[in-house]
Amino acid sequence: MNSLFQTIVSYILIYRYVTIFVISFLSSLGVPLPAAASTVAAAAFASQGYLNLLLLVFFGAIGNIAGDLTMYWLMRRYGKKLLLWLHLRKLAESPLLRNVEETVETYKAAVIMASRFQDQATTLVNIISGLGKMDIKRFALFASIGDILQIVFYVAIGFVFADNWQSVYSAVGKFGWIIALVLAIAITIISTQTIKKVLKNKI
Amino acid sequence: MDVKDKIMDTHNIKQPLVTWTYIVIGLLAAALLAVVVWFGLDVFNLYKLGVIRPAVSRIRRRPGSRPTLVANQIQGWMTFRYIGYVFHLPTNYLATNLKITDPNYPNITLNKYASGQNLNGATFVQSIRGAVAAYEDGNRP
Repeated sequence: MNSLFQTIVSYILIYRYVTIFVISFLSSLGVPLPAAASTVAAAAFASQGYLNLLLLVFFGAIGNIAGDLTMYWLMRRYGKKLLLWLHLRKLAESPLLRNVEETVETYKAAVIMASRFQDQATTLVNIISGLGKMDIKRFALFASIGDILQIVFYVAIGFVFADNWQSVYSAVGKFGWIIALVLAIAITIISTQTIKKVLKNKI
Repeated sequence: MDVKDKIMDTHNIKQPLVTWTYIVIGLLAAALLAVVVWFGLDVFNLYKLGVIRPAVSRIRRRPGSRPTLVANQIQGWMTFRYIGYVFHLPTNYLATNLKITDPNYPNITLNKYASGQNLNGATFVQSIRGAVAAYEDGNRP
């Protein structure tokens, strides 16, 4: 365990659900924290009876959903301004970004939900969805379902590996990267198809 | 610009787009394969270490049952409260035994307490392990 993760695990033992909520919220916002591994650790403590399993799932899911919606809202409201502020006017006003709405609307529900299983993928999809002004209800629904599934999945791993949760810590991180890479391939294919459609429509 | 020019223009854009897509997907697929192999090796190592079997039997175990931790697994990131809970210690057992007077006890980690008292972390963790092992020996049925 690295020192950051040790600190987080200690905070879980001391502040319990507050830590779970904060870690889930911040990682959904894109802060690089080991949220999945923290959930696995917390679930191991829950399996020992030290934490309540249902409260763990509840606060983890609420933190994730709140983080996702915050990032979506920030990008929807300030995303374009941010690009302009970063002197990326060309990108902000490019036809591809103007058509990003079409791109995000073509994201299958599965892509949005599966992206919840990996922090970097979650942030990327939240940013694209916000920038593209994706329908809020559609985004909130799929993100929430994905967040709940994600928490339940990692809680199940922690619960099952209770006595040996520290041994599965690194494997959990790699599993997250498998999800992220599968999503990256899916997003590349979907985006290319959308761009082709946009270019075809220009004729 | 007439329709023919537009088609030519689109063609010029589409060709590099398709090429770049193949390159990106190829790189991502290679990375995916590498991580899958790495993950597979991790799972195989877990199997060899005997972690998978207890996990499977855990599914059949009663929820909420205490873990089978031993005193030697106590680590610096654990709090006194957690150690007390896991090893069924009386609330003030460690405080009395190790003369701990910190106002944050038992909600403080062993590492933090040791650094606050200018104690060697590893030695302090060892003394906690000894105290827990002694309690377990004295209360074995």
